[in-house]
Amino acid sequence: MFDIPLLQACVQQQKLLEEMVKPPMTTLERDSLAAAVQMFASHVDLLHRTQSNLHFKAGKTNHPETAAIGSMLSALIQAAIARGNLLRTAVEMAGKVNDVPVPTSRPDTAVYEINGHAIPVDRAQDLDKSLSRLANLLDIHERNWPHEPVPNRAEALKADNNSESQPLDVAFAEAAGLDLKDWNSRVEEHRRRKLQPAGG
Amino acid sequence: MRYAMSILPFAMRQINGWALPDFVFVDVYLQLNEVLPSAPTQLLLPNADERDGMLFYFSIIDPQDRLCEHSFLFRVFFSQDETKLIVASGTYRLVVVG
Repeated sequence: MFDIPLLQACVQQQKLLEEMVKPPMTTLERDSLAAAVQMFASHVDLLHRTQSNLHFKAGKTNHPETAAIGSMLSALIQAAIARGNLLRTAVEMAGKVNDVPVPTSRPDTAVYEINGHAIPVDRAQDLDKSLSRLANLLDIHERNWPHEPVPNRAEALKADNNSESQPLDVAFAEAAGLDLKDWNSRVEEHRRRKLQPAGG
Repeated sequence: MRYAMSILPFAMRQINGWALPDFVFVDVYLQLNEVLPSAPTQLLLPNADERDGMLFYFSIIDPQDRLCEHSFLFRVFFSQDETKLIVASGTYRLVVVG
């Protein structure tokens, strides 16, 4: 699904970034690029918190819009990844075309390198962390978001009356690929291990 | 009175889909099958809409990596004769500290 305004915004952002990294980069341009990197990290923080909250709420209720909210969240994460990649390309370009490693404003921060090029942007390494967090968020989202509506009370009771539900030990033994006796042994072993002091 | 426990195929599919480490998988079983039925009135939280069942929350620190916390929230219903608790669905969140 293409989001035209979003694509237009990305193209616009790309042009601005290309313009910004043309040599020689001024201090203002470097600071602006560093600010964009920091804003992106904050955006990822916010997205992470939003995702966590929505996932917890999706497990609690049977909201009719659950599927739509899931798709929207997925699109937001993917759009953030696309924007992060644009920003990374610009930061990388800044390193390639501006050949002088610029000292960072914080002396304790090593000059960041991509493909052997020093990147004259403070905290540029945060970009990689943010992109990796986003990839992780998308993975968690795709694996855990409820893709079908969760059973409501009437459906749960009906399924139970129709003997579709299983005793927990039977269901977990089946899921573990064990018979009930072996499953119970495994649970006992688990209990024993938990009682052992740490490192014992 | 100790409640019998059962689980719907939907919830079991969800648990399988989470690909939990072995230790956590067995611990989830113990939480649902032993901890919850021992004191359901103290452990179950009311849902915003009671037709959506009650909520059982717990979290497990991963012994292999103590910076990993596995959090779970299960929706649970009482059976019609109120002798059994039915685990209907759940949600899972892995929080890595740091």
